[in-house]
Amino acid sequence: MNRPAAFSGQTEFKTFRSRSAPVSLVLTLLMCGIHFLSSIAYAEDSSSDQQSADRLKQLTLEQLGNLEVTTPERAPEQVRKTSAAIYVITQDAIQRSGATTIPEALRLAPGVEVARIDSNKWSIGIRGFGGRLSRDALVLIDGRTVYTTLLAGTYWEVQNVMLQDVERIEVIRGPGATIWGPNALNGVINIITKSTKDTHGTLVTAGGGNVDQGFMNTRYGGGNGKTFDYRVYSLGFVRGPEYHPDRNNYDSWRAVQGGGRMDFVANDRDSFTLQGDIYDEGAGETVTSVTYASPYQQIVRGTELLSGGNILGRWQHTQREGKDFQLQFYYDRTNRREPNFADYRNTFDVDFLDRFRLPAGQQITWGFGARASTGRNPTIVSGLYFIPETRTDTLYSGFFQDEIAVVQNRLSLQFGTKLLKTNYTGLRFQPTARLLWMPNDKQTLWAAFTHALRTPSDAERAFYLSGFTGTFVNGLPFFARFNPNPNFKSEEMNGYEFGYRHLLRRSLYFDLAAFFNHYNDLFSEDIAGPAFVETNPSPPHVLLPADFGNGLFGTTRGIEIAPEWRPLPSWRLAASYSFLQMEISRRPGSADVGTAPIVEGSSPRHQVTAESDFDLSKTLSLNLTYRYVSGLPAQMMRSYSTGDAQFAWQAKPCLRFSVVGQNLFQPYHFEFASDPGPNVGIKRSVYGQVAWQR
Amino acid sequence: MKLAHRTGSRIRSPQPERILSKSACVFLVLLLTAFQSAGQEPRPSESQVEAAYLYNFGKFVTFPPNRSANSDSFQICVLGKDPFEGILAATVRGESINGKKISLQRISSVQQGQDCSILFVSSSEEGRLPAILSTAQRLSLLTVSDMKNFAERGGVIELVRQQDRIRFEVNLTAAQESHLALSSELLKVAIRVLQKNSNR
Repeated sequence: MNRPAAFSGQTEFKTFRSRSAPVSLVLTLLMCGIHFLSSIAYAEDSSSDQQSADRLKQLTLEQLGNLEVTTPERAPEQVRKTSAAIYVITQDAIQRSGATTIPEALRLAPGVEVARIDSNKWSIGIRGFGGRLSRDALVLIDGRTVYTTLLAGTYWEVQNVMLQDVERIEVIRGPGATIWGPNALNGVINIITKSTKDTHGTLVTAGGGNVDQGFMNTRYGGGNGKTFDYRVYSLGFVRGPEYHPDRNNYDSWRAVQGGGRMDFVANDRDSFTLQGDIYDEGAGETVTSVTYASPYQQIVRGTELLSGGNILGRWQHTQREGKDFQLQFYYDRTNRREPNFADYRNTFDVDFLDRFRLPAGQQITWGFGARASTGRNPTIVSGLYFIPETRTDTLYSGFFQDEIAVVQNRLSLQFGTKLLKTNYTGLRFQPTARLLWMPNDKQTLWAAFTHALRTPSDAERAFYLSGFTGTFVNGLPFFARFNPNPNFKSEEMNGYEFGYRHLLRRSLYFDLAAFFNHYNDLFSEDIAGPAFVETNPSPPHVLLPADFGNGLFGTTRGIEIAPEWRPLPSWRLAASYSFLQMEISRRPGSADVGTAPIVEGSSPRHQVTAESDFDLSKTLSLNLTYRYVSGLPAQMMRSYSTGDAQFAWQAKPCLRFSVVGQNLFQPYHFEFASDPGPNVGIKRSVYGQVAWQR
Repeated sequence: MKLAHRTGSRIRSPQPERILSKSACVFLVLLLTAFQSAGQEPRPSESQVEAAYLYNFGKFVTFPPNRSANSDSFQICVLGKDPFEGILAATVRGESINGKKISLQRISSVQQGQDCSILFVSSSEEGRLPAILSTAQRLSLLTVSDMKNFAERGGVIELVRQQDRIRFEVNLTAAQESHLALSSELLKVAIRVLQKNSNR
């Protein structure tokens, strides 16, 4: 576990000026694009249209159904009609990016900041507030919340999915609409795997390289394609350390995981899904281990021992279009053993969602859910403990939403509220109102207001976290400790959003979102009183008591622009620019020790991404991505630019070879400082992969 | 502790981005020239495949006898905003079904569909779907559309996009109510056949 920033002495920071390198690169890429275009004669003349039409109509129905078509040159229908800043990372985009993990794939989405801390850890934020646990973003995998109430957030290193079986990742920036679960303060990341109907057959992928040293994914799926289908999968990988200036290569990572899914269609109306995963991992890390007995503080190198599993069942009942319900249950087991801390956790969750139509074009959606999560946290080092050691967090939630089609297919108004009660809060409302206007088939305008909150977790309410700060004048060791704060309240925000989407031509699409968020009662690190001599825990020491408070407030504002262009059916260009301005301040009278500049300075102000996916022929494709991230003053990180490339060859319908290069611009670069010790550089890496499918 | 980082970040070759991107550009263009001559066969578009389906469906449907006598051509009609943009015309050019030459017609109202055999309902008509379907049923038209839940709402054939493929669902009850006989081959290939369960 990593200590809060206030203890790592990062009070001083220096800003680095970004250079114009990214601008020149974008220009070069643009020139490159123009060069491309001028060298290509538009092949879409009528004679080739006629040829392909003649070829296609000879095919049987079955052959037509097996033909792969180009991705539609427009945003999917559900995206067009969404009154939120949604970005969908498709299976195709994941494959083309060469990403080997979910966090790396998330770099494709605008407004999302992904910074790799080391080989197995990331800091991820949406519209600011990046952090190791992404505490303001709700993450779901096939409807299962992987956000933990232990320390509020998501442990990314245990969210492995077989990327080939992901259908899409929906990234919603901004406070999610009412139907999403709690703690979706700044965004929702919804990972959806394919239906088992679409994963028939055997798939084996294997490969390796200098950092992703070896990996293998296997899947077998079958069924009749109509009423019963299934798949089983396994994945395993070994990932080597990133660059360590002191050669303390502690961050190797290995994992094995297996699982499966069954989809059963009982009749026209009822379908059932049952799925589960089981995993075992070791992720190397260094942690600061604090003890009240000598040696007081040590940087310990060790391995996170991570294992667990989950099982989820879902029943969907569709009466008719617009009238359906869904009942879902899951159980999740998490075992986490770190050198200074442990968590053994059982989570049970049940959710119900119902939709029906009312006259006058109203669509009602409502639902409720309950969750109980029991964790045991035995003390491993005396400086870090929970009281009581075993606790149960409960959460009851409900929601109601009415979507009114004011003008059919043109103007709709949505309002609703989420209701929430946890073991740390009373009943809380989180209302939203959203307006969607589609003046024609090509344009969408939307605006939204949402009140959202992040509920207290065990981190603020049951957690004792000590830091060693030196020896006091009287010779006693001097510690500071965060104690639980029974008065810690929810962090709150009022979000104002606006968005515009425009399909300018069949091949050119443009998405813009702007936001202004106002936050109150944000997490702060407060001094809770004067230092005193404490004898228990022994031996005697000087203690400065502290706690996590609600001492910060502030605003964020920003804009995200994401154009997409298909100059040719075989060539897709996508880009995004994300601007973020955070202004976080300490509330008058707060005893915060200086968290505000750290929060402010840990998210990039500017981010640029550019992708080029080009099918050179029917069997060869070349995919390039570029990204620029501006500096993080509080992390003492410079801005950086880097890029990835993938060259793939579909040698046979069943056999695909690819070579992926990542972070190609420099031998290594730094993205985020969070581990104790020198910063970890993210290496240039290359891996090769073979995929066999039949 | 942070010193290492500062020295580390100073070791940076001059503008590697520019050098890399230039060489990448040259590489790309070389690749392109190499493969252009190889003859590129891109994936078909969604519309091309849908047009091929529309042409094919006609072979698997038997229309009620009183209908087929009406006209000497087999008409495929597109109701509403035509998404095919000439692709459908290219597909059916010179083709015939059951000895009848296929002709195309764009119509703006289902009332004009009296001579049609296959009716493609564009997604622009979604708001008027119930009225369209009831008229189409009376006229014994084979209704096809790619709008969502078309089959569930009473259309005969819904073209469904599954991943990168276009497949179709059939509403058998709707076909029967329109007095259309669908061949078993068509039903076999359909990913889903909707049918009112008469046992219940």
